[in-house]
Amino acid sequence: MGTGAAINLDTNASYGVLPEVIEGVREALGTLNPSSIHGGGQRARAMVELARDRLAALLGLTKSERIIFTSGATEANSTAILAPFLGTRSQPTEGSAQWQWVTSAVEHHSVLEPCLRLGRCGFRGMAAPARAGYLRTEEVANVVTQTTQLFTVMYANNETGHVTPLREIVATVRARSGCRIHIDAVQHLGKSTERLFDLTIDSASFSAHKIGGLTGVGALVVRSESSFEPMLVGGAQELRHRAGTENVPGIVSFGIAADVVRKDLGRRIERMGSARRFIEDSIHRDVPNCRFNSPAEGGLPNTLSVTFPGVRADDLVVALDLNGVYVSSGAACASGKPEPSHVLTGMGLSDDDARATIRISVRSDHTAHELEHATQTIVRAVHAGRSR
Amino acid sequence: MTVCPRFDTTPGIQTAGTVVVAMSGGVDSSVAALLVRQAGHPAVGVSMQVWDYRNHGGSSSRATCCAPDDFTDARKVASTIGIPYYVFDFESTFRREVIDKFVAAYERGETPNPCVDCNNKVKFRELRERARTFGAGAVATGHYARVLHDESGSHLLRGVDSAKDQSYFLYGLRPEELKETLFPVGHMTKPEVRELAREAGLVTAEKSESQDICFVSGSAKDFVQRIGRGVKGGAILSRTGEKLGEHDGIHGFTVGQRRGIGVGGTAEPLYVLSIDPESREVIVGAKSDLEVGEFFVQTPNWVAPSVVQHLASPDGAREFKALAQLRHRHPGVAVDVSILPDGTARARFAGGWTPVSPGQAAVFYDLSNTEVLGGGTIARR
Repeated sequence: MGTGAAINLDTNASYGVLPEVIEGVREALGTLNPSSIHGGGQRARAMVELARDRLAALLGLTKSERIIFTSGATEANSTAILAPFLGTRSQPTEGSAQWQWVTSAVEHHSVLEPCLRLGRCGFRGMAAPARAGYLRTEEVANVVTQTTQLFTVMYANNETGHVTPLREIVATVRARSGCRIHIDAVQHLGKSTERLFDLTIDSASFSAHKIGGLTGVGALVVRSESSFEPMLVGGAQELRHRAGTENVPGIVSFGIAADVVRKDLGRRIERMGSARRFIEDSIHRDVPNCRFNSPAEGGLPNTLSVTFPGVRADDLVVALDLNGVYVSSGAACASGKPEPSHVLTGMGLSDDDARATIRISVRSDHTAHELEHATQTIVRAVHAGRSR
Repeated sequence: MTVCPRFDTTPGIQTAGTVVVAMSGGVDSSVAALLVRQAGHPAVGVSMQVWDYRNHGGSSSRATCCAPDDFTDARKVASTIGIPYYVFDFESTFRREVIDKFVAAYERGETPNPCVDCNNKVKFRELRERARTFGAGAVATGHYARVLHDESGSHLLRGVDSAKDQSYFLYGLRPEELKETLFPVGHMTKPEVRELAREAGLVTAEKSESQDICFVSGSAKDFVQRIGRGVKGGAILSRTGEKLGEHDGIHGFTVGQRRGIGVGGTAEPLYVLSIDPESREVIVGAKSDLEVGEFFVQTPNWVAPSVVQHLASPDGAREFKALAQLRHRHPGVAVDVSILPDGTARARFAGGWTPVSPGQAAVFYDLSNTEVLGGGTIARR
C-alpha cells in the first residue's frame, strides 16, 4: 500500500479542502444565526456577505445577478429546474415537437432526475442526444420552441471534460424561445476564465467543494429580474429565495476558496493543463491499446477520460486506491452496483468499454514527483489487470 | 510472502501479498476479516454484488443477501477493523454460473446446489482472479472449514464446529486454489466467533444468519416460477402408472422428498422416486422403492493430496473406502469408491443406504470423517 498522502486525481469529484479554507473557516465555526438582530448575528451576517462578494468577484457578476447560497449544486439544479413549473399546470400539447423542457442526454444526474420528475408530473420534455460528448447546436435548433419553458445544459461534462459551445447554443435557443436557460456550471469554477453571465442565461449552479471549499454548500446564481418559486420556504433568508439558516462555515469556505482561485486563475488553468498532458502523454506512450474520450483541446484543462479495453475500471480504481492514487470510474453507484456511465454510453461507447473507462481529473499543484509516481502506478495497474 | 501463523499451523507455507476477504455482512466473514488483520496480513474486504435485490423480491427482511444493509454492515466492520472495503459487481458471472444453473436443474427434475456453484465459480475463482489486479494472492472467507498444509499438499478439513461445518460446499476447490485459501473461523465454534465479534465491537456480532439460499426470498419454488421459463403442471403417478394426483410444477419436487407431495390417503408415507422433465410426471412410491445399491458422480473434483497423487500415477489405486455425504446436514454413509477409466466415480453403499438425489452434491470424506477427499454432482440413473 502507498506511503504518504494519497495523490488526488479525482478532483472533479472533490478538489480537497484548501489550507487557506481550513485556516479561514475557524472563525466561522463559532458564529450565531446571521438573521439575528444582535451582535452575534451581525458578525455572522457580515461573514456571509463577504463570501457572497468574493464569489461574485470570481464570477465577474454585476448588480444584475444575485447569488443564492444553497446546500450544494444538486439543490441549486433541482431549484432551477423545478421552480419554473411549480404552481403551473402541465398543458396537453399538440404535435410532437412541443417540448416544455429540453436538456441533453449527458447531464449529471442532479439535472436529469429533476427533469424526469417534471416528466412524471405531466410536463413533456426531452433529453437531446450528445454523441459527440457535448450538445451540438443542431440538436437544439429543432426541439426548442415557444412552448419550451426551460432549457438546461451543462457548461462542461464532469466525466469527459467536453465543453459545451454555450455561446452558439444560447443564441440558438434565444432565437427560438423565451424559455429560461439554466447552466449546470459545477465544472466551470476554477477551470475557465469565461464569464458565463455575459451570455443571456437566466441561472447557473455552482459547488464549493469542487474548488477546495467545504462539502455541503453551493450556489444558484440568478438574474435579478428572474423571479421564481423558492423550493424551500419558511424563512426570509437569501432574499426570500431559499429559506433556512445559512451554513455559515460552508459559505465562508466558499468565499475563501473563490478568492484564492480568482487571484491565480490563469496560472491554475495552465498548471492543470500541463499536468493532464503529462499523464496523457505517458499513458499514450506506455500503454498499448487505450483510447482517450476527452477532447484533444478545448475541453476542461484538468480532465482526462481514458478507456483501457480488457481491464475492469472498478478493479483499476481499487488497485490505484491501494497504491495511493485516487481516480474514479465515472460510474454511479446505486445499491453498490456500478452502472455503466450514461455519458459514455451516450457517446456511443459499448457497455464493456464504458466499464473499462476511468476518469482522471488533476489538481493545479501536483509536483513532478507525484505525477511520475501516479502515472507509473496507473501503467503498472493496467498491465496487471490485462495479464490475468 | 508471509506466513499465516494462527489458522495455518504448518510452518513454511506461504501466502503471497494481500489477502482479500469475501465479506457478506454476516458475523462469520466479519470475524474472518478480523482474524486476518490480527495476524498482520495486509487485507482488503470485498463484498460481491451478485444479485440486484431491488428487481427480485427485495424486502427489508434479512432473508436475502446483497441488500444495502448487508453492505453497510460489512463496510462498518471493515472500518472498525481498519481495512479498505469495496463492493464488486459480479452480477453477470453469478447469473450465468449460479442462477441459470439453479433454474435449469429444477427444470430438469434435479435439485441444484447453488452454494457449490457459487463457491467454485464465483467466490474462489473469479474473485481471486479479479483480486490479482491489485496484488492479492489469497482469498479468505467466513466458511466453517479448515485448511491444513503439509509436505503432501493442502488438506481441506471439516470445521471444528460440526453443527456449522460447511466443508460439504467446498469440495470443488482445486488443490492449487486451496493452497491460497484461508478459513480463519474454521477452528472455532459459532459461539466463539460471536464472542470474538462482541469483544472487537463489530456491529454484526448479534446479527442473525439466513438459512436460505442467498438470492431467494420466499420459496425456491416461487423463485423458479418467476425466473424460469414458465411452469406447467403434470401428473403424480405410482410406480405402476396409476394416477394419484396432480402437481403444478416439477420444480416443487426432489427425489427422496416425503413432504409436500399433495397426495394423501395411502397406508405408507409416499416418497418421490423420480421426476421426468419431458412428461412432467412425478413418480412416487414407498421408501423402500428409493433404495439403490450405488450411485455415480460424473466429473468429480479430487482435493485430498492422497487421492490426487494416486490418480496422477497410472498404477495408482483406483479404489478406496470413504464416507459419502449426500446432503448438507447428512451424517454420511460408508461407501466403496471406484474411479472408472473415464474418471467417473462409482460409489457402492457398503452398509446402509440413503436416498440419492440426482443433481445434488456427493462429497466423500476419509474414514475419520475429517478430511474432504473430493466430490461432485450425482448423476441421473
